[in-house]
Amino acid sequence: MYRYDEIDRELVNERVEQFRDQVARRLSGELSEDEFKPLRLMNGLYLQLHAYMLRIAIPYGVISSPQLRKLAHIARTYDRGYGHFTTRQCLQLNWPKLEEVPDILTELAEVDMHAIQTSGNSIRNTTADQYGGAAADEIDDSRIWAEIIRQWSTLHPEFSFLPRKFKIAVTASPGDRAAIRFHDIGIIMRHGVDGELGFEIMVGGGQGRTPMIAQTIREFVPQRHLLSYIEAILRIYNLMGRRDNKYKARIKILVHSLGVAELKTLVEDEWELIKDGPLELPADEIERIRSHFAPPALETLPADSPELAASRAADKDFALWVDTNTAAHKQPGYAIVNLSLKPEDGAPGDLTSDQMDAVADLAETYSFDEIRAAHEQNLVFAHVKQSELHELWVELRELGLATPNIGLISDIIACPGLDYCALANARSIPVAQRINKRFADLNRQHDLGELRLKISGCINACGHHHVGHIGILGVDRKGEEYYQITLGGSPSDDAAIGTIIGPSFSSDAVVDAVEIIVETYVELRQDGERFLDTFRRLGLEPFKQKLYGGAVDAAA
Amino acid sequence: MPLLKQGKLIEDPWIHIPDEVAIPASGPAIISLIRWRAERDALVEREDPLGVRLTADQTAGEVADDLDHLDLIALAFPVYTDGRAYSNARRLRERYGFKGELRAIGNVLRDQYLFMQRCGFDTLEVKEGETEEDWRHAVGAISVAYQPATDDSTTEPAQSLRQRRQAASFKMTASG
Amino acid sequence: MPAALIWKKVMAPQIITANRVDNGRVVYLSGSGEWSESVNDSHLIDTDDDLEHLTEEADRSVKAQEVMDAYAIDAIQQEGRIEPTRYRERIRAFGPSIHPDFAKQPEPEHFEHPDGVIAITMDDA
Repeated sequence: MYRYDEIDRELVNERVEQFRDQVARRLSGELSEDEFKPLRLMNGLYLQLHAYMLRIAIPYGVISSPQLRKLAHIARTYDRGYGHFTTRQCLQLNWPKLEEVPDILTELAEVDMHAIQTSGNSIRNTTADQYGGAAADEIDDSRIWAEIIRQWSTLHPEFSFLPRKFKIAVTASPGDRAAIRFHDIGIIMRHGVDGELGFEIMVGGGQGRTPMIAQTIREFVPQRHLLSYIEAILRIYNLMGRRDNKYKARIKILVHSLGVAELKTLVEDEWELIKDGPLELPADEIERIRSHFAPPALETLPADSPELAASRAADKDFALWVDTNTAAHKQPGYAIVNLSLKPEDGAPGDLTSDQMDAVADLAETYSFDEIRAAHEQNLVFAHVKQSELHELWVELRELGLATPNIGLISDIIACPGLDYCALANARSIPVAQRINKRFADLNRQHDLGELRLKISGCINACGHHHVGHIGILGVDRKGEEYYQITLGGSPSDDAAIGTIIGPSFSSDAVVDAVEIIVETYVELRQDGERFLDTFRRLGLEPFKQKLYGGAVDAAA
Repeated sequence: MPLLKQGKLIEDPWIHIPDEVAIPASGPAIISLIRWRAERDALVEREDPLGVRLTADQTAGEVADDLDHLDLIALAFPVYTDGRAYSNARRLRERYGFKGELRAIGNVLRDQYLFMQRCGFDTLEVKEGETEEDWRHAVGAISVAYQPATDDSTTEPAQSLRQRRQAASFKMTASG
Repeated sequence: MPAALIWKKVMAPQIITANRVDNGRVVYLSGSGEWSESVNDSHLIDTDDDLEHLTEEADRSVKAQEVMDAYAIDAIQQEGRIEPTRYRERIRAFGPSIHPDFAKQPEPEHFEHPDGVIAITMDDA
């Protein structure tokens, strides 16, 4: 992973002092809340329902064991002993005190971490494939490019006051695990005509009030021009994005109103002028960053570990976990392991300080001190020997992090919802918990197969409900919590926005509704179809029929 | 209002002329872009320095052809969260090669001084009570730049970043 | 300067709430003009005079940067306790529904909404 040098550290330390000064000016009354708010947002500090909330950056989801231990310590010392992993690979603390935030940032800086630009109208945490560097199906390590973008975008003097937030994601695999088509800029690594590596650049994806799938603005940008191309996009957006209406201020609205062809013309006119300037990335700089992501010292092992085979045969539960929670590693004899943060009765994506410490220890033993946070709110150990999977599984089970449900119905993405968030209309976590309870039977879950269910407590869609195979959106109807269901979304390379199925359901009825939808799928599926496949084949009708044909009490 | 020029509080030699007021025969004067367009033929003859004031939705390109006649361009921040002027400033300096005074006006707050400097502004119309010490503190707050901007656009940034790293490591070995 | 706070006339009993600046916590305005984390300490406003008096105090406090985002919410007095009526404000008062251990004060067991509507209670089926 990227290791800070003195220059990186200097920036983070100076930033802490700058914020300490701003907090002091706020607490003394010199800065009003209006003046202070954009400044605190630039350091990831929100005011939420119960208290301030601090969003800590985990660049493209990668965190080392010492860093995770520091997060455990911070959560324990300054907060309530837990943290929440978000859909943008960050960590949220829900109870920090403003007067203590400079101290929290100082502690974070000690391990080369920060909360810079995790909020506000700036370029946010650039996200990437949580399997980067290990995935069997990648053509390069997307994290290298996320790091290059991270540096370029940090405290960018021209782009710190954009019309709205700006999110960039990078993938280097055909099966996009980073949901790049739902980002303001989505970057897909590709081979060019001469076989060289470069990027397809997409713009204007997003969720929220007006979900849109990104469109390709340029099929191929060579590596050395990555930053100049993105800078050109940002410059046009900064100048032309709407500033009169915050609900129409994202670049997706600009893409929609101009059309991608017109935007391309504007961007590339700008790009022509700047591409051969100081933003051109020299090969040796790319190499320098790349060298930070060199693979760890992996051993030469047989492709199929006999220990693994033996453990599988001996223990059905273990075998199930291997099948569901591990993924193919490019190096023979290794595996990628997913730690499920979706236990039956937990809050999706939450981890206690004690668990963080334990995970840090396990990462040291089994995965070269490195952990990744996935946008699905689970964690990843990228480089585990197949022969050690059983030992690891036993430990993870002790910690409650081995629920064999990755990609299954109980692997729910949920935003914090009205339990924590001032923007929410309804609670999401209790709904996730009730769904988990209803589908607790693992056999049933495995029979259902891949079923990505996502819950958002409001239209801002931080729970990514638009791209759920089943999506649930909390709404407020006459002072009560109701839930609208969408079907058929997908965040991946088969990108799709879910379709609303009909009138919303009361809190009491929504879990029944989900069960009816799921049972309808079971009834109608053919030949190994996933839920999403059956939906695509049959459309909404059969599901609507079962739901609203008198079976469930839905709101009119 | 106080004027900061490269960190020094100075007497402002310029006067902002509202559209409905006659432009003085002499003395540095700043007028709106609309007025510049309307009275351009007469104004190009003006001997004393002339400046043009752009609103936030007017762009650098709209004055690009007239830069030889202008000694000052003022870019507005109607609220400090409106960041369009940063892009216009960079375009004026880097694309169009403007060498005159580039001034930030409007809601100009201390916590943006550094960004403004990096984007090529050399004067700032600031809040009452701002001091040179405030400016130094603000501009000195962050000494590291990860990306090129107007202030070092003539160098290769990755190059300069590498040089900085080399310098930093030299500093480290020298001290220890 | 903070935007002027707009206070509506009293249509139903109300209490005033805000967030403290220094630690962000939710607080309620008592009759003596102090801010308390306990909703039960809040002063139930049911006259316009009361509203005027307390909102003056709230405005002063916001200007002094002690609290921010002060606003009035519907509330009732039930069995000797004061509680907000809307579920969002109940969560704000009693803590996240999934973490009763974080509750500042336990949510009263019996809650009858003044309009006779069955409100969502904290413990879900």
